[in-house]
Amino acid sequence: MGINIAQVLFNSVVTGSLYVLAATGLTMTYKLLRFPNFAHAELVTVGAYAAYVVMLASNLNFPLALVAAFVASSLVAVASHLLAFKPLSKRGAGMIELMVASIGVGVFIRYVVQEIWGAAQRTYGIVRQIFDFGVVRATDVDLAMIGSAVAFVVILHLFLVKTKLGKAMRATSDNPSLAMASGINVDRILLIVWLIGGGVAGVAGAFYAAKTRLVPILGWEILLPIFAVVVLGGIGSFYGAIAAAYIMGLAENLGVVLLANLGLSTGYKPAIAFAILIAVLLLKPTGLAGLKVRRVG
Amino acid sequence: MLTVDNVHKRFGGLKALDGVYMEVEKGTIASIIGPNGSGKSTLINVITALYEPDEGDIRFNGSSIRRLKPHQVFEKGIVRTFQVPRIFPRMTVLENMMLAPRRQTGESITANFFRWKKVDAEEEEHAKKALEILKFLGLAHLKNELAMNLSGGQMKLLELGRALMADPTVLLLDEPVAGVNPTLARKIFDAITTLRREQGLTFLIVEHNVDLLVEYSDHLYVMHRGKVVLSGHPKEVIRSPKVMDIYLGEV
Amino acid sequence: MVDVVSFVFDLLTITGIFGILAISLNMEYGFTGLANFGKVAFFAIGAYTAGILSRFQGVPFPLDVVCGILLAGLAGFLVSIPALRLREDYLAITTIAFGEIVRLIILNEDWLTRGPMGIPGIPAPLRDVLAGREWLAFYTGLCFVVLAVVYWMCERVVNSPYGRVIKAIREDEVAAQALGKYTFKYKAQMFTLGSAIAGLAGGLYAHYRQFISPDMFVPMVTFLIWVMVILGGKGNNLGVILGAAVLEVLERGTAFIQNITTLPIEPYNLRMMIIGVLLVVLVLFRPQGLLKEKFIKTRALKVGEEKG
Repeated sequence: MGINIAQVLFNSVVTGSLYVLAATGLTMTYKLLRFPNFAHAELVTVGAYAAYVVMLASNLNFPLALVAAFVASSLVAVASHLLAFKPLSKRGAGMIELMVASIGVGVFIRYVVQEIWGAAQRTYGIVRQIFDFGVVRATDVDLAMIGSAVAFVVILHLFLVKTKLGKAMRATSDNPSLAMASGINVDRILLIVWLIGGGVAGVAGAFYAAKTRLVPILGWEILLPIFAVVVLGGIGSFYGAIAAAYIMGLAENLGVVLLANLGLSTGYKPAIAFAILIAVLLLKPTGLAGLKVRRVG
Repeated sequence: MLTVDNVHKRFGGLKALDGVYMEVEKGTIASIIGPNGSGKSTLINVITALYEPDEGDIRFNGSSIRRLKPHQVFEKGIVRTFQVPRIFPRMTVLENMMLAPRRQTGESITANFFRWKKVDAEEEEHAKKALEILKFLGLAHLKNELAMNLSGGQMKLLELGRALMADPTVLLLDEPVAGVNPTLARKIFDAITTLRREQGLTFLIVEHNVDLLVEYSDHLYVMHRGKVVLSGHPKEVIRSPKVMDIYLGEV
Repeated sequence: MVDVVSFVFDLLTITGIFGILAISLNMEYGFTGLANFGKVAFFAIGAYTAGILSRFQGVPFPLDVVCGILLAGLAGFLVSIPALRLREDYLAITTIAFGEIVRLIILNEDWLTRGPMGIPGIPAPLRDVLAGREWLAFYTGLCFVVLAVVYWMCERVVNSPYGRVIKAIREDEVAAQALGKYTFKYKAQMFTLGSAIAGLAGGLYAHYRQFISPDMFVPMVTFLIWVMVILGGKGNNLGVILGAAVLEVLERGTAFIQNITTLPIEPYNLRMMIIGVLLVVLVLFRPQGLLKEKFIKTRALKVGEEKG
């Protein structure tokens, strides 16, 4: 049985797009607040469920559902920051304490979701349109994902490079104390980071649920692969995360094919991301961004 | 006894040590002064293997210690204190002291199950010594206090006491009496002199208090921008006009 | 009608087993400062080793549990070699990933583990001699004896010069190295010990439930053990046992309430929401937990007291 390399590549781009949306927020908050936020999984989940509510109420208006996903997740993200992470940071909590708190936040949100909607899986009820491009088959959801990811990357890039606020954000990410000393309102920057990062994670959740199905554990399913993307790209690096997202997409989709051809169970697909995660942490924790050529002098 | 041979160390764009030469004779009290950023603490860090030198060598009793790990440098008898005290915050003063003696039998996990009599005996011996040192430093009443509750000056004294507990051959002290009242500071330098005389200990001390150094140390190094620029007997070095330039001319 | 006696024995047994797990994490994190978030992996290795050996190879109790201990300890040792040089957050993430890899292997290698179907019919020791409640009483007693032994052993390790070194590593690893401690050795030893003890708990668990499956060994289990340690008091072995007890009572309590009234909230979800909030609140307001860390009780402490 031959490998349809074109389809694998296309699927990789789709997966990569999902990861770009999901990982950006995590990599930014990880760098700025100096801890891995395990509740990020629930930002993805909340977006998916918010989209679900709107889909039911609006008779399957998916674009509107995406907006709802963004809004819901960004609100939850900001709330988690204001109620838990900011007070903890102010008290000088260490990385592990923040991480443990984030696990607590995530568990709480997950079981609220499970309480409201139950553990059984649901679907958005969309009938997918399939496009046949010869060797490659794509659904409308796939194309929307790619489109959204590209749009997001372009918009955020322009924002970071062209706007005052975006530049302030980059400065804060590079050197928070210097940024504060030069008059940047770091607290406000943090809020914006949570808002954007959380919102976009919610959008990722909506797409993921549309592509697969809706369950409370949805965010957790992709959390470790998202961490792999963040670490591979270099913690705090938006551009690193983009590259890493598509590399991870390729690794997973190609990897599944390889697993099948090697006679191993395709149930090991998540292990691909885990293996990459562990390898990067052990060998080059600064990730792709750390491969930048040293500035001379 | 302790030789620093053309040591270079750079951090990113900053050259912290730019060819340092130093020769500390056994049984002497050598000291280093210099403005902030001249590389004094970095030098201590490199000697004790916290950092690896980019170039150059460090020799102790003739053999190179450049490639050793920090705990191995300690094993050789080279003990250091930190400029900002690194005591163990959530352990008591006494527990901090008890960590210092080397090669404790009880530091092996199995020894605590099969050789507890020996462990107990060593604990008793070390505890008595620790209490003596604490008494000398005026910290005995704080023996069961958590180290994080000490004042800055008390933490410095604890670090010193801990270093003394370690039965060292060479002591590298980074600002040992900063924040300590003058009477006690003198008392400490008197003790340093006594230890040098009675036990032949060697000292390399980073200090800002020039009066104390002139009175107590045998040899003075002046560091500036990662290099040793003056070296000699303290009384003479101090009179050199270069010293004033270095401290006042810093832009 | 709930059989009260069986209920109590069950609560005590599970508390005992999780008390052992909590102590194992306490040794790694509470005393040595190692952020092990893959604890469930070693629990699983112990459980599956004991389960497979006893059910499919006829290895008798407690030999199969001993094998579980050894294998879990070995796994801990192998993981510690590369992982312990990592910064705390990287170590945490790496250990979670390791835990998931172990679970995936259990799930997919069904020739060995029967995959998602799990292993039923794990023989219960002395089941042919003791019936029903008597067996429960026996097993509860067994778990408590093991817990007491583990507690005693770990207290001995902690209240010693060795225990001093591992606490120093937790407080400031660089300063500990400057005082001549080869810190990697101590960290690896603690991680191996903690993993072996978790394997022991796994073996006891397998023979108690007589059925094990991969979804009993999900990351949530690790997080629950973390709650026990933080709630009970990290750095205090008695405290973490208390933490295990509180969490067990919380679980039974919410299930019990379901038996007598109808709550608007599903008790399982309620319990988990409480745990989530508890984690945040604990870290914010009472990070030292219920029982605080104590002084290291060696001969030195006594000498200190005598000299006044």
